[in-house]
Amino acid sequence: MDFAQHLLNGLLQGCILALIGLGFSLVWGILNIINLAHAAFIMLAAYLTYFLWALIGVDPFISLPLTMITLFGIGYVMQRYVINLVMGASILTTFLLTFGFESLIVNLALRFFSADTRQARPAYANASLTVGPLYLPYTQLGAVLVALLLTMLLYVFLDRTRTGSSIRAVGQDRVAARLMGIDIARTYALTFGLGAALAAASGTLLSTTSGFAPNGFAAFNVLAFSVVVLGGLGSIPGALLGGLVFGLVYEFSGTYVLPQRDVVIFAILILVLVFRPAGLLGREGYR
Amino acid sequence: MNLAIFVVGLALAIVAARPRAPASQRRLATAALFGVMLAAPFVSSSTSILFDALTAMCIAYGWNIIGGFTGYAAFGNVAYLGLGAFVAAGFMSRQPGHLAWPWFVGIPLAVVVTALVAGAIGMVVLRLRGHYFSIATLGVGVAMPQVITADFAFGPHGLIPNFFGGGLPLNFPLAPEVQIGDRSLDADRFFLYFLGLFSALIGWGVTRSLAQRKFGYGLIAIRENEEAAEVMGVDTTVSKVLAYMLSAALAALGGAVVGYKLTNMTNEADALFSTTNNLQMIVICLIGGVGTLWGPWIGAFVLFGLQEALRTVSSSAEFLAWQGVIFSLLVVLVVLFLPRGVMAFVTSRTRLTWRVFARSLVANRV
Repeated sequence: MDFAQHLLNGLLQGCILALIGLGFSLVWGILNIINLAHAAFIMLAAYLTYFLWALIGVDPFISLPLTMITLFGIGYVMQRYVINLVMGASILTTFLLTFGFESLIVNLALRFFSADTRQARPAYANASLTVGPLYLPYTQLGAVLVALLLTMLLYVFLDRTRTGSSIRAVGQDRVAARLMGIDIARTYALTFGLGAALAAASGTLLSTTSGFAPNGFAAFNVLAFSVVVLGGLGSIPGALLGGLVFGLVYEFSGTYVLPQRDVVIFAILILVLVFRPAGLLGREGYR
Repeated sequence: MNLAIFVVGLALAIVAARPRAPASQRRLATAALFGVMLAAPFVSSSTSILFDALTAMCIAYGWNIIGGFTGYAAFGNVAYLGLGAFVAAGFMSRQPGHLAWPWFVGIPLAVVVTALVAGAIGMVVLRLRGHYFSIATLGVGVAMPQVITADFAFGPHGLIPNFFGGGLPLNFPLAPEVQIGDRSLDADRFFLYFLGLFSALIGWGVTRSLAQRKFGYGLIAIRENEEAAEVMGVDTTVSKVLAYMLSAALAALGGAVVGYKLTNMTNEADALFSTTNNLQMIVICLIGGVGTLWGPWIGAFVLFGLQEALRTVSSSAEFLAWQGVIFSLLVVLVVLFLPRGVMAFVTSRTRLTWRVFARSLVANRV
């Protein structure tokens, strides 16, 4: 039964990873930049949730929309007034700029929030739903439901709304989109804000399921990248699949293969990049 | 005193870097610069920050080869910096089970080993381009500290048992004090400083010879247009892997010298493999000028000169607490305002005005 429990844990964890990958994939696919501040956004949201819970007792699932809106604002402003300035520059520039922001936010967090491990633990944090011999913690269950809901909402937003199609248009052909009267700078900011909001959601969910400290988030950038590469860039079902696969890999490699999980994930990443660069569900030749 | 050395060194490096100055003047400035660096430990009572600047410069010269000349934005050279330090410690340590080789054997050997490892990794990751290459190398940086602590390879019963400590302490031997007559010269101030200077000069020399050779031109051709370079007869695969190996070798050299000074490797893995170290080499190149001979030299002197200046005006505890924040802010500002580095002013007739910064800021906006 150990195996079944690990399988379940992996799938639950995978849903959050999928959410992390989703925001990362959106920004990468549309803006063609790798946002290395993604992990810092996750961290900021985790702290925001923690402090809202610890200081004024707001339940993490209630504060979720609030953190998402806050991070959307931060992301929007950051892209609109800073990152938009270097969108035409080389890869090194955008990479360094977002890496600089990541490092800045983490260092500020270390300075002001200290390196202590924290966790938002509402009253139901230790309670679990028991299904036969399996345990399903309520926080994990809630996290999965939120992750799936947000994935669906994003899909509908991009597919069915006018703003959503303008975002996709910019991702497909910037010049043509501009000729159709789409404000590129604004759309970029909007997309980046959305990516930050999705990161915020995953940060809030993570803050309830495990303890965290400012230094613990760096691995999420490589992880998010791996999820996107495995699933296929620009594919929402791909991000979901990639997240689930890596959730299982993370869970099982820790138990059965190698305690060095990042090495396993990195090895998979390299194999996928070399042998199937378009990912499992990605379209061949999509940038 | 150190601040004065930084300022003089920077001024001489800028004179030496000016392309339109007469060759004799540039040669004179270069000679004067090396003279100042050789004399530094005799006039400065603590050469610690100069040592930091010179080793970081050596590592930055390494990044400059792959990131600057070849145009592949590598983000994981910190892996080779750390690996170089640990392999050197493995060869030089006097703990039981280690080889206790002298530094002039241990460090060069560590550089060779690291370069070979980088060659193997490079053959895979250099098949990727753009974002994919950058993230793959970033992954190398994340995975390397985990690999050297992996039980199956380097644990008590691993393939090479306890080479990297494997739970036991791993130390470099103490650096020797040099006796001249009845005076003994402090190891930190003299011996290690000269080792740092030597490594920086190797980085400089390698870059200089690259810039004059067919191989170096091939790398620049790859940066400008890889397909065209291939058509023109550059063996791009071999060139890229060699450039990557060279870049890792310099990172390992700098890392091994830094490790030699830190001495105790057991607690230093986090410090060596840190994000700051990873960013630092790139930022140094960026401040000075990516893909130029004098860029890393100028960048290192600006960065560490600034650090020294900040340390003299504030208390050191306060400075330490804010160091990370200041450094990251500097990264962001340099990327936005000075993307071509100080060399942009040195090589062209651009005057140092606010308008130049404003123009760089908006040059690549949407």
